[in-house]
Amino acid sequence: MSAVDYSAWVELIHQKAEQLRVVFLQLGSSNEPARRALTSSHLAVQTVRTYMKPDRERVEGTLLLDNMEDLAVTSPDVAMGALRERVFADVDAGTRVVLLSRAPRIAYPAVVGSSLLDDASFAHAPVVKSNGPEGFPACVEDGTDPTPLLRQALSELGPELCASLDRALYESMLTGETALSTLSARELEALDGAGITAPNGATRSWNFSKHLVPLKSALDDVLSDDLDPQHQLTDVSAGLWKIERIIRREIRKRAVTAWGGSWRQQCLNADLTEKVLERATEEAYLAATSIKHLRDPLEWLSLGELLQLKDRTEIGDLGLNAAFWRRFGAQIMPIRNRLAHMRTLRPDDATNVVKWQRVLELRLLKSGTSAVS
Amino acid sequence: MAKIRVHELASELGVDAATVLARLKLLGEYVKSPSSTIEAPVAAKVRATFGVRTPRPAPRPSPVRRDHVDPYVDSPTFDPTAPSSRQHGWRAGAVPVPRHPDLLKNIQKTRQRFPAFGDHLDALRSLGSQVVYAGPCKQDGFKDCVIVHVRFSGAIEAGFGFTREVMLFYSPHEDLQVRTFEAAARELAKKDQPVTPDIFFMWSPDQRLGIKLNDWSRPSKLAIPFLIDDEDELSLITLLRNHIYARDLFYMTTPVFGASFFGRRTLLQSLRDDVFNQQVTGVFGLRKSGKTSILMQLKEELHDDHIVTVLMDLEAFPSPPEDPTDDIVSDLRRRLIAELKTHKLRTQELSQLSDRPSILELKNALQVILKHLWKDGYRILLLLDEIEYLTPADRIDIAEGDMPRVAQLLSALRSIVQESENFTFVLSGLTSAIVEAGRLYGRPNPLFSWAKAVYVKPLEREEADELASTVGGKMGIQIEPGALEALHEASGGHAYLYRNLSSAVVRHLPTDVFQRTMIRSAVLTELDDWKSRVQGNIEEMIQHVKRYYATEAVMLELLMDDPGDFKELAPSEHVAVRRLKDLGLIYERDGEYQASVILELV
Repeated sequence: MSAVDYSAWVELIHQKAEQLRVVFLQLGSSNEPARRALTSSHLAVQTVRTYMKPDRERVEGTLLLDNMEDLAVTSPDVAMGALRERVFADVDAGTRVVLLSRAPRIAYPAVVGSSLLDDASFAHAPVVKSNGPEGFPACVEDGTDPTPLLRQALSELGPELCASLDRALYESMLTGETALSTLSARELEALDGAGITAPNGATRSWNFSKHLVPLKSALDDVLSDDLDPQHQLTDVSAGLWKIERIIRREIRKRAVTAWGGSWRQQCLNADLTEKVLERATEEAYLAATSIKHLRDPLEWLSLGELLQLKDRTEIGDLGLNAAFWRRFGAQIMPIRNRLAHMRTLRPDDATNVVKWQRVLELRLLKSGTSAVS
Repeated sequence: MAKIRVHELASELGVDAATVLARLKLLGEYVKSPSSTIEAPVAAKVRATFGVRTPRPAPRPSPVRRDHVDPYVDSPTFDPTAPSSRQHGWRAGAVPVPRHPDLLKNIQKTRQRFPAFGDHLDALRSLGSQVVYAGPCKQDGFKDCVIVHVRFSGAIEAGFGFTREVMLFYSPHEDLQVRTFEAAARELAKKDQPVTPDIFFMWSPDQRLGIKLNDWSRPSKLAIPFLIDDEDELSLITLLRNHIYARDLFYMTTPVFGASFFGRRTLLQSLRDDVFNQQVTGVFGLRKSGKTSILMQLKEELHDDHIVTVLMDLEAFPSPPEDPTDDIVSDLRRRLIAELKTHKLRTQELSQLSDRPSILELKNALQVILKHLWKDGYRILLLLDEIEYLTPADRIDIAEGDMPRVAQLLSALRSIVQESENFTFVLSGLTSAIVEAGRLYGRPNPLFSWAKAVYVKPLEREEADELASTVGGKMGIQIEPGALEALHEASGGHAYLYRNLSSAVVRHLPTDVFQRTMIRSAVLTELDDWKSRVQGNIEEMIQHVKRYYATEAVMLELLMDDPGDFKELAPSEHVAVRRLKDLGLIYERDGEYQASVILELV
């Protein structure tokens, strides 16, 4: 039997479902007792997979769809669009639906059109205030070991959010409210659901002592233990591949136009020529003694070095104005570095890469056409 | 007329003096204490805010069924039981006791069949409300049920937002079944019923009546269990408060249409014209800007115009790079047959096709049917919602990607429009790429420079005011001009945000007052919390703009971070700037561009 009385909170969730019809509720492993209290209350419980079977019957009253986090993986069995259609058909017929997930909304892959997770009203997990993972309800009530539980809670948040925490806590060395201020609204909501922070009206606080030591320690383990590719990896790597090759091709075209057959030697300054030749001979062109022996010296430049070539009058801005190029550099270079060093990608990385890929395709490949972004 | 003290007026209205003092303050009248006197016209204004008419020497005759009876003068039309002071205010605008012999006979019959009905009559009459119709349910299987219509007193109507009679459904069944609820809902939906369309009362001897109705009710059909406490003289008011005030009609998860739809008159008229002129149109806008609601409202409004409308939500189909065309064609055939059958129209050519016809087979069959429909004056309208599922620009190169059958399907639809006189289609989604891209999946885009793009902009102030006032009225809430202004300012008129903010404010309005009123300060008080709650939704909206409108997204970032760069680039990036304006994300004032309220909320 639960030591804490969750009945008021459970009643609140029921009321919210009654009023707002579709509710999304994130309850991580740290909140396992609340999950038990809710699933054993007066409602029907189905896993999302069972719910999507063709022969299922509509539930009267309130339906709790469990294991929603199954849809947060790279290739979920159930498409979010199909789930949205079914949920709304049932809601129209009078059913109330609670979407119960261990993963936060931010951990789900972006959908193409309207999103069920955005259409649903958001419900909060019970507010837990503590000074460390020992205060998590699962530890207090079930006696779960706090250290692995905290790791589990971070894993459930997804690698992108862990990367955001990494940036705030390690890279920026922030603590307290300052660290929280670097996170987006959806990220903060996720931390509440995992019991890592506690909301207090419009503000929130960490559920850890001042220097967040246990959290940082768990974050170390989770990030270093994460071996699976992130779901945005395909988009990011494919996008960066295309971006860099588009730029390289356009620079090459301009260089050939400007310098003809001697473009290889003319394009790079003396310093870069030396570096490129060294890199190429070390890895591939074992017999090359001059830059003119390389098929394409641009392939041996980093993205930063490649972009510097735009400063040459003969190359120019490639059809994209300076303000765009500045922004491109500021957004794309760090992502490329993260990928080059196989570090965890951040939540916005795929969006930014796809965005710049589209801009370059439009401006560098299709300039003059009427196509739209 | 004589002056009146505040506490006397409060007693007359059945509220405490503090409530009247607060109401006076809202009216701009500053009165010190409950013992202060106020002038008669001021008292009249206060009464009006509580939905109570000031007593007049001679009530004018009314053309409507309910006479405006002076509740303070004993009248033979009143129930002889003198009301208590608590009931007094709710009796204002009382309805005359029914006199028609047929009605009285039916009331008596109902009373005999359902003894509880007698208590209900007493409760209604003590609050100035009367039964104006009683008769048996005529539906097969439910002829032992009785339908009653009630006209509430003017004060109750004003307090709870009723503008028509309200239906009561009496069932004798001790184990009430959902089919009886559905029968009551059907009664409510009858077009000739002069009753409130989304609320009704239900009574049965079932001990679990309240629980069952709570489970079966939905926002469009609120069933209130007619369970009155004999000991409580305001039990009926409590019942109404518990159910009507608990409703939140502002918060909508699903698209709205019909009585819940507001504004967009110009856009709807333009779409209607497009349907008759066979102009294919794309309706585009931000997430949750109300696109699907517009399609559903268009369908509703064309219902009586001999137009067979098929609305397809493309999100349920596979999306490129997986080929969705076979599934779409198959489902389109199935839906067309179903819709044509509903109208009792010819389906032969479509029915003869296999379950999964080719694009060409569907096109040929549809063209034959359209010729027959044209003779009968019918048209077919296809509404394709969530169109970005056909053009997921972040997943596939939609200009040259390998998905020619999508372009082929759209070409077929275009040629049907061109070769017939009674077919057209409307697209809807986040991105206008499908009508503005020169090429689509390696082919010339069949919709490019042919289909028209329109954007769903934020609600104009007038549209938003109408929405808030009408929806608020249905929940018995009066919204003051200052509050309307604050709602629009804070949400920028974005349909979802506007409803969401209104809902947040309503949740904190008191429920134990005579007249629920939303004032400006109530909106302002709610703003900080609300902003923190909707930030995530707005971030998602902006993420979608970034995914589908690349150049526009960069321009938006420049406006937010480097306005100087934005200003310099705006003339050369005029297409992107125009689209940002169309999406309601930026606006121009005195030649300067500024971020809209939506962006300020992030």
